[in-house]
Amino acid sequence: MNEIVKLSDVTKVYRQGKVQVPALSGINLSIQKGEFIALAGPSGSGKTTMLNIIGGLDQPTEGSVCIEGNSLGTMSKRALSRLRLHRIGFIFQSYNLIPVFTALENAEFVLLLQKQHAEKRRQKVTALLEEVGLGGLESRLPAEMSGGQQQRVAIARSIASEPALVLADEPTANVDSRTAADLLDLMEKLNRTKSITFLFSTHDPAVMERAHRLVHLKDGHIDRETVR
Amino acid sequence: MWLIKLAWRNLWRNKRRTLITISSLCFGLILALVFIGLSDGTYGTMIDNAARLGAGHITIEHPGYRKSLATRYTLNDTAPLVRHLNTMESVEGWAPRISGQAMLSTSYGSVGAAFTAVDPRQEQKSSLFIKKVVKGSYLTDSDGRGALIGIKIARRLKVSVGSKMVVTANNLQGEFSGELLRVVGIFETGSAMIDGYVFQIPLDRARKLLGMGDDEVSHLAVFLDNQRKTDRAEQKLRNAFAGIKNTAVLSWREVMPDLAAYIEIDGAANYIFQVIIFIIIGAGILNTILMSVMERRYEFGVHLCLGMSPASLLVLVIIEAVLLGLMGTAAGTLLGLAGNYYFTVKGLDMTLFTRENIDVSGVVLDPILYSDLYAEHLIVIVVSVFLLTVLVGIYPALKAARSVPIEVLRKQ
Ligand SMILES: Nc1ncnc2c1ncn2[C@@H]1O[C@H](COP(=O)(O)OP(=O)(O)OP(=O)(O)O)[C@@H](O)[C@H]1O
Ligand SMILES: [Mg+2]
Repeated sequence: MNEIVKLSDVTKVYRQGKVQVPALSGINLSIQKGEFIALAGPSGSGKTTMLNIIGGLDQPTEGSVCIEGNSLGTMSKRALSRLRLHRIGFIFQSYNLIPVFTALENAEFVLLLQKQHAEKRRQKVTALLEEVGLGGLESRLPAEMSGGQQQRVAIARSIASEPALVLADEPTANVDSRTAADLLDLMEKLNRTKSITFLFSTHDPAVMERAHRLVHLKDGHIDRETVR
Repeated sequence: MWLIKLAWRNLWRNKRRTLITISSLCFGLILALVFIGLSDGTYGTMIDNAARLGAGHITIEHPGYRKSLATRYTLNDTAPLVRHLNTMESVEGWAPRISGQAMLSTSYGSVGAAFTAVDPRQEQKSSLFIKKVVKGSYLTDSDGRGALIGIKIARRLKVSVGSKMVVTANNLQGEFSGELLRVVGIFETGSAMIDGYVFQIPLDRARKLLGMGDDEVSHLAVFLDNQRKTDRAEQKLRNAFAGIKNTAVLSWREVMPDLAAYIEIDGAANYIFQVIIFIIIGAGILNTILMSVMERRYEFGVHLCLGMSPASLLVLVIIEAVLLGLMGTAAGTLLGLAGNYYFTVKGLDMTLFTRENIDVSGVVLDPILYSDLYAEHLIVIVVSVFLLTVLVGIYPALKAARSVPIEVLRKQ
């Protein structure tokens, strides 16, 4: 079972009062384990909508979504929450660290939610922070770190529980191009060494270039795909 | 455990707001505790004074007496009653009494008055009249002709210590009867009703006046070492005397219904005041927690996104409320107790606010109020303030649990 994500004929229509806004139409996509894949497309093309649907945060109007062979459509809210907790990592554009938690505590947040043993947790996360280049900054609060450093903590948080898939909505949009390149290096390295599947969205051409597979969205459908 | 850590740190994100909330909680609690302490203390003093100027905390009398106040309803054999009273630890003392109506006359005129005939030795320990003697001394022997009279009676009859008076009354046979008395002391309680209407004479003098037998008394006044033990002592005595004919046990509540009613009504007013304070405190806390939750909806969305359960979010906010409540009630209880201690020792001087005597159904209040916070009131107030905080946290907690994760990715 190497297919991590499968979208079949996914359509999403938002209702705004009486107006219907189509966000996705007839999307078919299959993502294999270990892929490093980017969603590209202009603003409003449906990138965020697609990530939300894959992450079980939103339901498609039509079509089905399977994560590791399990159809999300049949899952309860609770099951979806558990799926996110154990199988999916999230990285956000604006980091979204908990402001009152240190780098270490933020990085271990998902492990806390999973009720992992404190000592094991600490060991794992300390090593992980070292790996993302934050050795020595364990006790910094988010406000005491740069954007790039905060995003590294967020990356550490997203992979700490070794999920099957990491979803990242424009993870480099808030940092300069130099930092963006560094973050991509990091994600690529983690993808390679831990074989974690990454799916991220972007409209930065420099970032698109780094993807191993690039899916272009346009007006809610897949316009074309490039594989490198 | 980490939820507590997160909740604790969340509270201190907005230090000022948290401190203001804790202070308001604390202030409300101090106010409530001091207020209740002063009321408890004041009611206690009132009851005790009234009992010691009247027929005791508990009165044992003939069951027919209270309705008719007729002198003929007497206790004939107090020996077994007294024997039992002597075994009870909460009983500080007891005094046999005869009470009735009489006329006091001198050459200047006469006044109608109520007498209490006493055995002076038995009064020593417990009666408040002894402390209220302003001229002469208290009665000494139980068969002399001495009389202790109120200062207003003394003025009206123009008598002083050493003066002679005649007391006349109807005896048990309905005949007119009189005795010569000599004023040995004059008392002043401050209550117009007592000072102008009450006098005391020795027990045996009253028996002669009324034609009563040697052992007959109107009632036994029972004094307790603490007025709060009244109900329990009353119950015990009722049980103990159930088999003795023509013996009724009454508490001060039944003997002085006006005072009991006053305390009940005043207490109800206090209760309403407390509830209002609590509602104000509760509204303040609700506002704080709700605001802090609304501000963090996005953050809660992130938590949900990462796989935190809505139930954990609910618990997080409840813990925040609990921590606020714990800090506020801890500080409020300590300061409230300190305030009570101050007013227990120094008292609150009401002459700062009013110049008049405070007089409740014949009982004059000491113008300095002393606090005496009852333990059960302390516990009830502290626990209910704490529960109020937690209760008030439930609605914001539910709101937090209903945060939507999808908004997170949208808002960027
Ligand atoms: N909650 C919503 N209600 C109504 N319409 C929505 C809602 N969310 C998104 N849309 C619409 O759906 C379409 C796709 O939006 P989406 O946010 O997925 O685009 P995007 O590719 O992420 O854009 P961007 O690059 O600006 O983030 C847009 O037309 C948008 O206006
Ligand atoms: Mg978007």
